[in-house]
Amino acid sequence: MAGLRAGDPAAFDAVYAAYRPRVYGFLVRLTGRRELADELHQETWVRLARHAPRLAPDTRLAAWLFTVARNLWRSHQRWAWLDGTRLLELATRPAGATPTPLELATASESQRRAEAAIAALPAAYREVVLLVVVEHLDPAEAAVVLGLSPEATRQRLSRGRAALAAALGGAP
Amino acid sequence: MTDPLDLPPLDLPPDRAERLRRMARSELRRAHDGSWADRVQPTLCVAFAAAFPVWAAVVALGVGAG
Repeated sequence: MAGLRAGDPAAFDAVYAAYRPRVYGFLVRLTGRRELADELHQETWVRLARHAPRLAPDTRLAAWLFTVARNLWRSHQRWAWLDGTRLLELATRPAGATPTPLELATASESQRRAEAAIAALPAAYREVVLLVVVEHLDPAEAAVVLGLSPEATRQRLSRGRAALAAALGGAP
Repeated sequence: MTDPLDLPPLDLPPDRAERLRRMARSELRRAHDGSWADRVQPTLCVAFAAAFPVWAAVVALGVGAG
């Protein structure tokens, strides 16, 4: 963290290598649209670079990055509702990110089912499930990312898990 | 049964990941240079004013008039 705050490029590279796939995967699964995820992902890293000198020494980077990524998505959603063209685009697109050929080849049947089940969750459940179940954030950290109380996060997570389990054909 | 989920990793293609890394690093450099200037400039102004009060007054009047 000290290196990042001091503008050390090597420190930035280490953070980028460690968190890039996690943040990108979170955004692809959250938005269900790879091109939108690309755009928000790029903006997330540019914001980290711009804010690096002002980060507090005790900043939890995972929570910080997921918070920025999630807030960018929320802003985009609000803006999309005001834009008729984008609204139409959203309405006519199938839910879920289009997997690349490599991802299709490497994903197992159970992984493909899980991806589809997560994509079908309501957004409020999808984001908490992605943060805690997929990205393994502590529920307290997820609460910070989502701007919710720990209790509200716990309830939302419990409902999200139950919905996911039902979609996968098992008990919660 | 849903915790933890082992999903396939998703990542940018290497060329785009590298392009983004370079872009973000130049933003980092810009942000750091700006931050450094913000901290140092007031100190330099105070030191200049203490060492050369007459010139500092002239500069201040010039900036004010401009």
